Amino acid sequence: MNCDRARQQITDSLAARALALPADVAAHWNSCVACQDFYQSQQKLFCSLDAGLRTTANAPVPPWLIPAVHLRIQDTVPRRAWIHTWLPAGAAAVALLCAVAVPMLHRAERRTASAHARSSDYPGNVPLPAGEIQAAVRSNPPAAPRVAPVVRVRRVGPRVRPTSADMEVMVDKGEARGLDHLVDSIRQKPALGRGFFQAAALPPDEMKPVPLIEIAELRVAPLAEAQ
Amino acid sequence: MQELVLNPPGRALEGDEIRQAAETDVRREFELRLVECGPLAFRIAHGVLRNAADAEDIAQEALLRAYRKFDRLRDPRRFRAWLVRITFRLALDRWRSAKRREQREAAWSISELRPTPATAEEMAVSNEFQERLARAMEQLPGKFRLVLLLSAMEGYTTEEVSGMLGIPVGTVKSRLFFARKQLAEKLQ
Repeated sequence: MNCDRARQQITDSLAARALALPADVAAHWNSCVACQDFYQSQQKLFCSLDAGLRTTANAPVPPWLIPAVHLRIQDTVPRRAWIHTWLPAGAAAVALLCAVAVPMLHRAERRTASAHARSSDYPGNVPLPAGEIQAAVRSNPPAAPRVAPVVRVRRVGPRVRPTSADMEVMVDKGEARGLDHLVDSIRQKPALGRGFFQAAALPPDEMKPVPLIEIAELRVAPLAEAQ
Repeated sequence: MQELVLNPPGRALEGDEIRQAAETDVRREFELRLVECGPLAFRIAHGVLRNAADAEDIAQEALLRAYRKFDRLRDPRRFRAWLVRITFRLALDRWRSAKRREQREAAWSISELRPTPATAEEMAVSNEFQERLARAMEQLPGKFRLVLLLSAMEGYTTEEVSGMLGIPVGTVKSRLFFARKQLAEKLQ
């Protein structure tokens, strides 16, 4: 056994707190003075290491540690009792507040949004000349408003069923502006709106004669006779 | 068949009183364990932090946390192991944050504070050795540090350390071996 391996084994034995060295190491140790010195220095190192660890691990405990923890626990207890008492009441109050406030906020938001759309999206109630409107209506009767595809949105507040008074249809911004303009014009001059409710004079359907097809090989006969 | 239970005469206990009685029981049981395990918490914290004031702070915090969650502890016999883990984790957190702060504030001075190497004999009698030992321990993995500390505490055998940490005795011994070996290598 060489000295390097012996020293490795010596360190391992001391680290494992072995009572004796392995036989082969002991044989080498008996014959090698340098390894004997190494063993002694390692032994002292581990002794001082253990002593240092004991000093670190067995520090004197301050006598006020337990009373201090007692005091902090006593401070904690009333706070817990207070929380236990008021927590359900507080939770109920918050829930009630939410139940009342959320629909109100939702409704107010919808009102604001519709008012905003009516008032600020187009520049005021500027009346157009009646002749232009009539011409436009005659030449290009309004089609049914195009409805935007419905997107499912997660509801935050309680479900509110819309009434017929505040029914909303989602249309393009430009189309909405045109419709609003049209509605305002009709309000100002109701005669304009009559055109929408009168039956339009459409050109009569003309039946075009279709020539009869004659097939020479085809013989038409009642079903019973054919069988 | 339905069982009928007769209430004893007198006023029945209200919900609050039952809860208060239960809290009192929990508190009494905790206080017994506090006296038993409080010093252990302090020593673990001191072993990690090497500062009595910080260690006391951490020990108090760990004991308070243990108190707050004591009623949720399913097996009260595991209290000591539980407290050891809480304290060690808190102490390590404190040590890491202190280390970060120290590095941030005075990185340049750390190398100057590093002690000069000396022989083992000289070091053993001086505080310098303690300082070097502490620095070497800081470089060990947490599981090695905890086993070293608990094994070095008076009154705890390897079997008790194994029970406290919930690991086999062989694992405690192997951790102890590697920790001691690494420490010796660092202190050479």
